[in-house]
Amino acid sequence: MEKRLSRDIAQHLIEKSSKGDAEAFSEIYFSLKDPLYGFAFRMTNTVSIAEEITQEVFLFFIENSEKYDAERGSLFSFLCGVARNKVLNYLKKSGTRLETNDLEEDLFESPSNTWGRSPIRNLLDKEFSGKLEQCVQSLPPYQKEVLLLREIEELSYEEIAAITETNIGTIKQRLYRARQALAAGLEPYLKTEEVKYELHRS
Amino acid sequence: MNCTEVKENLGVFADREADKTLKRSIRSHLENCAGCGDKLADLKKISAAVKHSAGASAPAFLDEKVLNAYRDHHLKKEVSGEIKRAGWFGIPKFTFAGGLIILAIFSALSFQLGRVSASANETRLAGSRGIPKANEKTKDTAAVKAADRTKIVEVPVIEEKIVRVPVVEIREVVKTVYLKQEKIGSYQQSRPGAANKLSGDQTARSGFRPAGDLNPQVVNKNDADQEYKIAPDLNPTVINKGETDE
Repeated sequence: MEKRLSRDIAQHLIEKSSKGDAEAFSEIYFSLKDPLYGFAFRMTNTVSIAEEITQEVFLFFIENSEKYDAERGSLFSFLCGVARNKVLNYLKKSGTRLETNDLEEDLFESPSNTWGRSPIRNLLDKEFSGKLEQCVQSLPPYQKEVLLLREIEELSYEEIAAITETNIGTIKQRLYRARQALAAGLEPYLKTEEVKYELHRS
Repeated sequence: MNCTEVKENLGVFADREADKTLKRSIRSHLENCAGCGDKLADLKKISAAVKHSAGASAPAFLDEKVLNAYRDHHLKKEVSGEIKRAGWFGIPKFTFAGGLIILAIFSALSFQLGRVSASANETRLAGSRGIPKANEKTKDTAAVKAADRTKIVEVPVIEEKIVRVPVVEIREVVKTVYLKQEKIGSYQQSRPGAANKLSGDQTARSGFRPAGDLNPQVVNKNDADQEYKIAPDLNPTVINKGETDE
């Protein structure tokens, strides 16, 4: 992934890419396409929209690569910020409320009924994964984006703040709330030793 | 630091974003609070689960779309002149190719000029040896013609070489060849004056026709046995072997 590359290397590849070096561009593209697509998909929960957003992000990069400033953050942060804007535009158009949790009740619904039958079997059936996905998707967009950027992309608070154009205090607050919501939704699973073991192995 | 404050900062602590003071306070609290320790463990498990659930991959068709868009974009930039393609030695390819073409043209011109110069030198040297220049119609030429009427010149033959010969000199050479042919004829036929009866076909094959004012002399049998000397004022040069054989 690009974030494992230094900013200098990313800058060097961008310079070559802007001069028409297709190999340099390919290197950038293949190192960033999956995390950007993953972010867009998890934020929108729609494959076609995620594909469209990912494509638009790279088209933007092709035409505006000179706008990237390595001093301000990683290339992924820069492009993730572009993806985020497109995601938020899509969510606003689709009527999603960005601040509140529309599915809060569902998020805190207890899975104990299904869990009681056979925890290991349910785990193998990916019920836990499904519930986790449901909990993540139920988060308000502002909390979800911060959680995804932190947990999946492993960005620092500073980088996340740069992408979301907020301050670190806001990032901490949103992250705290997102984790609280996940912890509440997954509490029954977390109390099970098998799940703990499985998660530990992962 | 109480449990509420610790729980609010557990995420920051788990993410290793806490400063030294906060780290120290939370660590000291966790040593004595099992409940907050469990919360921290749950937090880490959730993080691991979220990471584990990640794995969405962009579809392959997206690769082609984006890479083609990149190529199209840069093709347009090249056409519009915004990009100068890097070539060899840091010189743009088109400039490099243009330079090579110009260099080739200059090389060809220099070569041609060198040949012309060499030819001029040759002519000049020939002139110094007494051979009239090709474009020079002077009274010297007339003098050569007049003097040549009474002299027989043998033409040395060097195979497969063509040398630029002044027009006047060619005429003298033709005459000489003509005389030698007549000489051979005189051997076979033993009749003087046969040179004047050389057939039209023979003259056509030779490619030369004796000038009217340079009628070849008839050589008798005895003359043919003589060792012919090169006239000092004519200094004949090489002609094509094929011409002399005829």
